[in-house]
Amino acid sequence: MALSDPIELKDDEARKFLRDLEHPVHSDKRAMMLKKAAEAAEWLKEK
Amino acid sequence: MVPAEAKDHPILSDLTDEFDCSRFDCREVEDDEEVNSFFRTQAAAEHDAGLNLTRVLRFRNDRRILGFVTLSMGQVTLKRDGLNIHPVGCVHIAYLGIQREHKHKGWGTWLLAFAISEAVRLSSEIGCRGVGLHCRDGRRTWYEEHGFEWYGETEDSGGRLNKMFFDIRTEPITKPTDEEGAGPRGPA
Repeated sequence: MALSDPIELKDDEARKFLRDLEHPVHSDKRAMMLKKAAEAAEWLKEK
Repeated sequence: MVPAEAKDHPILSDLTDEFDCSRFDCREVEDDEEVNSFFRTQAAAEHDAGLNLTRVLRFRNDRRILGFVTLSMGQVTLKRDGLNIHPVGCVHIAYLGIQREHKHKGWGTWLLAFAISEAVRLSSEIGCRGVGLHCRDGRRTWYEEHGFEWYGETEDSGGRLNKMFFDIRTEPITKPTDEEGAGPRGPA
């Protein structure tokens, strides 16, 4: 493959890797909030 | 951060007439006044009519209001690789507010997390891709710091509104467009 060839994204992991390269902070924030969301569903229950 | 003692943490309750909405005040910047106005004068009626659903954050055995979040269903148009552009469902945060003396304690983050958890829960039953909202300029950075992406603008009688979206899926090639709003109400 020549250096100029486009990168073919074959799976979600590859796409996530490229997204993290492009938007590392944003990706971290999303991951943090998704983790917190899983906790919130239980933590904020009234009963 | 989750408090160590379970009894110390707040819970979410449906908005009922047991709560005194008239004394709620989340004003920190000028734009917050419209959030106050909604909660004091419209939230209960819209909740009762099923137009949206407002949940109140409070401590157990205490009816004082720490904050609230008002949710409804919304719609956003997504661009995805290999798929046609089309609208998909999302949870829409119509309003979110924290009582002034309880700001900067992380409660707003928990309300956002709750909205995201609702989107995750609904996504197992019906098309629901994330959480959308419209916010004034003064709140945009806060939402971005919590993983929301800006994808366009709209406006209402109060001025410019930023369209924000939180994608609950991990696949990255998802881009909300400016063709559809996330919902009819705002600002969050």
